[in-house]
Amino acid sequence: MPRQVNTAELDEFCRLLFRALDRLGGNLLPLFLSERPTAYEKYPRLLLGHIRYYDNIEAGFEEWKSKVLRDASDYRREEEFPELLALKKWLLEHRGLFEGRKDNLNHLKRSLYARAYEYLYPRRLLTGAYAEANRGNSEALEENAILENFRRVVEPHVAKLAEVYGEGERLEQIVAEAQEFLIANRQRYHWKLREMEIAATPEKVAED
Amino acid sequence: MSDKAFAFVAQAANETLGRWGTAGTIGGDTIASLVADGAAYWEYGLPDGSHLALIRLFSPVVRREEVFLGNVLLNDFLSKALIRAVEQNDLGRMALLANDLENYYYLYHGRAALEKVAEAFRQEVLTSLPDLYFGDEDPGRGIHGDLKRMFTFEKSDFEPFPVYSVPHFLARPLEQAVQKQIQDLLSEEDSERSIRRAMAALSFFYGQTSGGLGDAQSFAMFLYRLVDAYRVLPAKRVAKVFGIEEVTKKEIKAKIDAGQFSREDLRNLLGELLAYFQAEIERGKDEWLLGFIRKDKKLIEITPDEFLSEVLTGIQIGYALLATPAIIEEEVSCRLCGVRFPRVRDRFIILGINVFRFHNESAKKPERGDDPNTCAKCALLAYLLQRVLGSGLASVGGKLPQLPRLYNLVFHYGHHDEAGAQQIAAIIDDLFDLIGSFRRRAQEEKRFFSLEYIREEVASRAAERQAAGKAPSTTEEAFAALIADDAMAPGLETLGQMRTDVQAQVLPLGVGHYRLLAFVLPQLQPGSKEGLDFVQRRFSCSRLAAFTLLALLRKLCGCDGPYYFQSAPTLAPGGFDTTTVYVQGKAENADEALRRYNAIVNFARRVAKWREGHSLLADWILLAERLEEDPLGMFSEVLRDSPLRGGDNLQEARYRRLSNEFIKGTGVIDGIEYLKLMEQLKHLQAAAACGTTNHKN
Repeated sequence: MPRQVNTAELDEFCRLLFRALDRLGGNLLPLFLSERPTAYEKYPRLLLGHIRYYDNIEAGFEEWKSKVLRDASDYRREEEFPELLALKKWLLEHRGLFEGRKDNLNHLKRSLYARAYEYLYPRRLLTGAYAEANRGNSEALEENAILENFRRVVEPHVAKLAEVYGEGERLEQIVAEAQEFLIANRQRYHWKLREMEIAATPEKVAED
Repeated sequence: MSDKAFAFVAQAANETLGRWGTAGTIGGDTIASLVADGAAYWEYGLPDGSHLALIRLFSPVVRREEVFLGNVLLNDFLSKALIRAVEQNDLGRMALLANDLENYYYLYHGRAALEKVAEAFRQEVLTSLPDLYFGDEDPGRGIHGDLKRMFTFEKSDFEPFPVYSVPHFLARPLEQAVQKQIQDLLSEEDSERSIRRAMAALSFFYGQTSGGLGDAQSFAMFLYRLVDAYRVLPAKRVAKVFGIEEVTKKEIKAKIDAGQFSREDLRNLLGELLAYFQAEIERGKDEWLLGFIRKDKKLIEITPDEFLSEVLTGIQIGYALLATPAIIEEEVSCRLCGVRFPRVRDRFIILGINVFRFHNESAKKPERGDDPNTCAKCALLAYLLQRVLGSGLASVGGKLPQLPRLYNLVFHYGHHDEAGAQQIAAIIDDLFDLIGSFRRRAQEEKRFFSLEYIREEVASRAAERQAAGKAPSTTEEAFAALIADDAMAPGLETLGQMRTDVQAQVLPLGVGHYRLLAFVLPQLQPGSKEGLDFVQRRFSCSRLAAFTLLALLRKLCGCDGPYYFQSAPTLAPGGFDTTTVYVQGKAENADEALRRYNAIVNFARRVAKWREGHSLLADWILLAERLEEDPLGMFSEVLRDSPLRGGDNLQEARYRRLSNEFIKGTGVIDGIEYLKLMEQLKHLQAAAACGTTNHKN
């Protein structure tokens, strides 16, 4: 008889996993929402694949960890390492959810894109909206400016998100994480926006 | 026992006893308690020598699509015949207190023994048989439908009328009913279609032969033979009507097919022919009385008593069985009910599309060949169904036989009297009419017909009216409110996909204020590349889709009585709770079910993409079912195959996107609607997990 998938625990696992990947930077999770679905799922899928292959949390996680650390942002690898340790600790405490549980692993694999979308969309919506609102204004991507203006600039989008999550702690966490992500990755946005700006500059003006 | 649920029985009993002047003899609660316990007969003697009795009429219903509705209608007829039998034979007084599909509980006051009541009932049924078959619609007598609905055929090569359902002893009343129908068709103003129907009916009912020179299967041949073989018509007369030199079957057929004939002359000719047949039959010339139908023994060869016994087999009044099935050695039992002796051959017009499906018993006896497989009662039930729904041409294996129309059947208990039931029927008719008018308009404008289209149209009409300073009518306002309600959207879309050639009906079953209503709705229209019953089957298998339809009906009738789809209402504790929907035999709280499934169904409806030759309804039903089964997994699939990013190919994507608004700086469309659904899906999952845990505990 098929066993019931442990939905609540898997939700928690995904939150931890996405948070860790997001904080580790690099391209572990896409910077822009317009990436293909595979970009959302690549690293989470790898972890599930390794756990399934070894049917052992330690072995699977360690192999995945070395790959993730290689691909993570050089600047954030050390700083965010505790996130990885926290994830490992959680996995070890809940190893029963994964070892010998093809049903949970399969369910996760099938639903990864939706879960990643749910995690990333609100956060990248806010960071993207802030960056877009300040296109051409490199000072706006300074840490102080972000701390000072982020909430105000993205307020219309926060209001829309409130329709989904309500006005509570969950929404505040999303806004805070988005702001934190923007500060940590401001150089990438800065670079990307400049690139977009050049691409958008009319040829005549560029020649002048 | 739920006392509250049966309170309406107690109330009806008290009212009846009061009306009869016997109040205080027994309490309504006692009666209600007996009904709840399923008592078959209970008697209470009164000082004047008469007695009060609770009598149950039990008539089992055959749970097969081909005859189910017919059986429900027959039971309604029987339930009303019993009251007439008592009253017309001065046996006392009788009132129906409550009923479901199989059980009817009556309160009786009089001096007659049950056996006498049963005998009067048998006689009443026998006397009323011609009316049941051919009479005008009279819900008060349990006669539903109309013979007119059975005369919509324009061809007679396959049997277009269920003559196999009619016993031989009703041949003359059948012929008289046919005459009346043909006369009505001929009196319809300037309608080529009605003339074609009259021609098909004339050849089928009065034609004498079949096969190569068959005139029962082709009006052109019939007319030719009326000139050439039977010498009933002069050739000149026929030649004039069709403007031909030489009267041959080929010439007549060519003219009929091309519609090249004088309508007036043809109508007169047909009228004269009909009068001729009538005069000949009255003179005793039986060959015109259902010519080939009788020669080919299409009518059931049975005596009135045998027929009555077969119809009443298994039916019980109180403790008295009205008839028991005759067991005939070495014979198969009816392929539909499995009880009675088969008398009717397998035919499209009786069994519909399932006619040649495997039948275990007859397959084991290959020597039986084309021997009958259906009993007289089931044939009658198929006939009653067609009185209500009619029949229509359908393509089956390259042939175009006439098949009984199929239906969606929903039952509902509620405080609706006769007028209330008619009012609900009128609302549903209006709704179908409105949806139909929008569908036609969409076709004219070459736009895709959907609920969103109706919403746009209603909004633009309202704006036009406002600009012109006109106030909207109450009906328009009600319709606008209904279609604006997201909870009703899937139900309305389902209604919009139903066949338009069948009229929806609301049939009140039983009597009294707490009434059982049957909603007979048309079946769903398949896409051009889909099988006849493909969409219907998908709809029937989906609890989610059923809930959406029931939610709409609930809103239209405005009461909290129970609804049933693919479930039979039963007058037993737990079988008719208020605010409950019974789907596929499972009871579910209506509000809860609507809340739970509405988000999923609406999401599926909005993202499902129309495919050439396929029904959109079938696709969104399937998607909704999958979303319910594996919410996040399926949601991933939808996201993956939706054109969310700028530059995605809209044609190639498998699903439609929920928004066309791109968010600056993200390169993707607004995803708030997707997030909302994710949240709802998670709540559902959590609730389901909670339910499972509670259940385990």
